[in-house]
Amino acid sequence: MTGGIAESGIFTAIWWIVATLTVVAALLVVLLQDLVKAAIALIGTFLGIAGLFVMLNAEFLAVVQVLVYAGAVSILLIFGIMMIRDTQRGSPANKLRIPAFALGSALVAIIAFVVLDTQWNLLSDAVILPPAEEKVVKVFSDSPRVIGSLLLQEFVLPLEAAALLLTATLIGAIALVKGE
Amino acid sequence: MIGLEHFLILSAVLFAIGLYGSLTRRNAIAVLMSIELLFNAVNVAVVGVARYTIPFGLAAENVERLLTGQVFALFIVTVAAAEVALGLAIVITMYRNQGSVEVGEANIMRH
Repeated sequence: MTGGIAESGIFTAIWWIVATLTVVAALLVVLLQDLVKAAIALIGTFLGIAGLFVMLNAEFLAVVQVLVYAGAVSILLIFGIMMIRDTQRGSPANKLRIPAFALGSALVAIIAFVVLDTQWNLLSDAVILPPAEEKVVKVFSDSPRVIGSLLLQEFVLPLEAAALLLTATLIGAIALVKGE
Repeated sequence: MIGLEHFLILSAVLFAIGLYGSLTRRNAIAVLMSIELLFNAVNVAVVGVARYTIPFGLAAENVERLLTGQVFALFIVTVAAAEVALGLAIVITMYRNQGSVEVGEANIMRH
């Protein structure tokens, strides 16, 4: 896993562009008064995060991100906004603005300190001998198949739990909206 | 060069933005959108750690464990989708019952 495109200057440049776009779109989601525009900014954030997933060698997750978030969740939210009339006149911030800003900044500062202070057990530092190295590269380049086998072997129970959760959510949402 | 730290701090920034939004927004749908930001920030961190670090006890025969983080992220996506569907159902019920989706006015369960 050493060398390659991840260490080139163009990767760094693209990363900074995508990261900036994602953060700006996220700020727009939080700050815009018009909720329809905020929802469109949210789609921008989701697409930016899909780009980050591609840069993390997680192409399958990037596709899932675009399908589930940018496709389904955002459309669901926009339908919700359209069905509720008083969202169009905007959503002013409440009195918590300054404490919330302080809390967010403190959180970023603490996490940044901890992340920079930690000695990470990095993949790029590890000594991986040639036969194993080939396997590592293959796991990342063949991720959908590996994720599928992980889901059906090690993570079968969580997978079933997720299915149960989705069914329960479906029934719950219908029961809530349909009424008695 | 971009490393794990970049992704983790970016994820922290996104999480803080989502936290700010979910605390300050009055509209319930805007709060839901901020919560989606929180989920996505966590996903970036999880996938970043999966890409850059070695899981404990990794050996040549269980090398697929490197993708455990991506499987976690898939489950997070599932839970987030369920959350937004149920959240919207609750918001719509709330709108029907009291004609408003302001978070501060939701007091039907209060005694």
